[in-house]
Amino acid sequence: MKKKLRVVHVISDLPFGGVEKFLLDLLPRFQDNLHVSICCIREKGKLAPDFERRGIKVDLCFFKGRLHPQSIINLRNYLKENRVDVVHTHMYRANTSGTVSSRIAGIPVIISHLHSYPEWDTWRQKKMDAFLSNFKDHIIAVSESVKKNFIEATNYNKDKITTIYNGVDLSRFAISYDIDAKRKSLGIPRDAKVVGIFARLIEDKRHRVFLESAKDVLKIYGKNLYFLIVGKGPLDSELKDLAVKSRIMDNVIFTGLRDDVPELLQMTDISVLTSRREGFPIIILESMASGVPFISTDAGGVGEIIKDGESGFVVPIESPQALAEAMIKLLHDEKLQKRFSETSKRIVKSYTIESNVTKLTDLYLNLYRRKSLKQ
Amino acid sequence: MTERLKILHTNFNIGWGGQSNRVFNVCSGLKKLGHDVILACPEKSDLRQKAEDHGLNVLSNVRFNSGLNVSDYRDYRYIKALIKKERFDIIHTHGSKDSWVGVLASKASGIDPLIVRTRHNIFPVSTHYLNRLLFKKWTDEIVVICKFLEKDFLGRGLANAGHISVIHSGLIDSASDSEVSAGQFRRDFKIDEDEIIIGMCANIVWYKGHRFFAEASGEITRKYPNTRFVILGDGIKEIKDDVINRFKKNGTYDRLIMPGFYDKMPAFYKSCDILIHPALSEGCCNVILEAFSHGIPVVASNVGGIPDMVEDHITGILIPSEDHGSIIRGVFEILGNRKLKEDMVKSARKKFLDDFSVDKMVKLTEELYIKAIEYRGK
Repeated sequence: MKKKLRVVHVISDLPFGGVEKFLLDLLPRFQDNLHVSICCIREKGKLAPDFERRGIKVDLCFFKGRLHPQSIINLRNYLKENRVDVVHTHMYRANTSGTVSSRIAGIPVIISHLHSYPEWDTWRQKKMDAFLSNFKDHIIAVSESVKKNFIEATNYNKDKITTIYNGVDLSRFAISYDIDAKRKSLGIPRDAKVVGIFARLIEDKRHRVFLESAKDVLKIYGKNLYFLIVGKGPLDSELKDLAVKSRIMDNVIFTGLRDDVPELLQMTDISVLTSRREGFPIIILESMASGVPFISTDAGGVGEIIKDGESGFVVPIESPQALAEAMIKLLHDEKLQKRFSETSKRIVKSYTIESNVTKLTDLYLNLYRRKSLKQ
Repeated sequence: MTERLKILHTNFNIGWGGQSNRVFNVCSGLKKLGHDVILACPEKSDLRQKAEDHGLNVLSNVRFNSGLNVSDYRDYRYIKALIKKERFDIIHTHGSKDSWVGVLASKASGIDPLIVRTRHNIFPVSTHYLNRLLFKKWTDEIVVICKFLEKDFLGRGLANAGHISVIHSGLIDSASDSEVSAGQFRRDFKIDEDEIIIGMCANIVWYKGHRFFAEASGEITRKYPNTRFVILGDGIKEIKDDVINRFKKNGTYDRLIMPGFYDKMPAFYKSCDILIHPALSEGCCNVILEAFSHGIPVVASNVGGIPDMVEDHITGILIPSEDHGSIIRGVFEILGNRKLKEDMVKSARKKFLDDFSVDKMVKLTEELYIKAIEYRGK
């Protein structure tokens, strides 16, 4: 019988974030062909029970610091004890320490996944990433722009880095929900327009820009328009204060964290993202799958999914005016909304979670085979 | 149907407390699931009494005295013989002394059962060589009562990743217990119906933070003059005096009710409006769970195992420890925002039923045994 490979995903923790929700969709689908588990190095996080419910074991291998010797050894012991064949690390922190520990443990295949532009705070971190890249067997970037940026910064061998676009589970967005009831539960009238932003309330997502343009749009479009802010984060109270101060609180709804995103998307007319830093935002794919026209800032790989004017609008970063103009244009033009919606639904069909599963499984198997042939 | 396991539980406690209660609940739960459970605990212990009353198989021929004693050798010989005779699948130990005895005896017995250890409190375990040997090498699985401990053990090299699990202590839901009436507590202490009861229920020792409760009382009374402060529990006299002095200094001593132990706790829970728990160190806090089950909003400090239960503004209000200003703000928020209070109480009750039930604790323990045995088989 063919051996099932043991793949461990190393990640900092599992909060309610885009990457983590993507993994939650992705990992259970490997189970027929691979043994998949997760090892967190900071804490398990809120989503850990959901992973466990879907049969993915989550372990904690607590790190005191990224390169603390005891922590590195702990992870090495863990990987060795579990006879891991493939280590797949996610995002900067785990990419660094996961690579070191895996190399010491003699793990056959080490893969790092870049989900966004690197968060290098210092020159030293950049050098470290460049140096450690030599010990990796492969790097996956979530978009061409992330890949290009990484190669430029580190001079990494471009044969060892591939772009695999994230995918979504389309079936979840194909269901028709009772959107009238959903609107009612949020206090939104049936005939009102809804503009939504689905993102954690953190600085990088620039909700402030969203609120500023919301103020302008309300002045021009009128009051039968609601702005939905879905998500949770440290900026929660600050943003609420801003909405109150801008006197638009009556038309802004903070929903907090929600697990009914497909339903909320279906009752939304325009979906917006104002980030200044992104890799390959899954919410764009989810909106497209729901047929909701998208307006996003030109961050990271956004331009690779949305073609400006074809399936949505791409506006410059930090520009409330441009965003407001795009919103108004779209709100007034129902035909355009419909066209964007149809194009989006067509385009998104090539970004399925199933294709991710196939591509990654092939990558694991090929690299492993190549490694075992070498030995 | 899972395989019937033969399990030995050992516990050293003499008096009754959270640890004994948990050991008792786990043992009886596992027995109900069809496993063969034997409990070894000292003759004089309250646990033995209660376990025997409930028909558990108890062996009380052990002492598990603290410190190094001659009796340890006796315990060791006894447990070793017991393991040889009964051929246990699992030895589950709960305290320090019984862990050492249990581990050494099972090593020497030649049977090599699976060793599971529960760490019940959050006082730091020192990381000297012998402890590392005991926890990391000789213990197969470690169970801790909160996420804080999991991190602590892994961070200080006392546990192997993948072999430590958090299983929260479960509590029996006493909210539906209708033996006492809601008005009982108010009648006992002559508190009017329209007065707000803000309670704190903990042993009066320094690390429970009673002094911060006292310091907060002044400001609270200024805004809500009809507040009564209740402190239940007994403890160290000096600390009690200090707390009383602080209430006097804040001009709220006449609003304070401090009866020491109170034997009708359900009556208290049925009347209390807000529960404050400003502890500086805490493992699994049963009082907070009781408050959850009775629908009392909680203001508690962000230490030890408390954040596992209290999610800020979702199941209660989480505050920094050693800060009476945050207690005041928390109380004002609960009293001033009815919707927030109702939402929190509802989520807290749900959290209690979902995550802190005895059934869940027992089920997770059983799952852990089965997984660990499977893992060993590989």
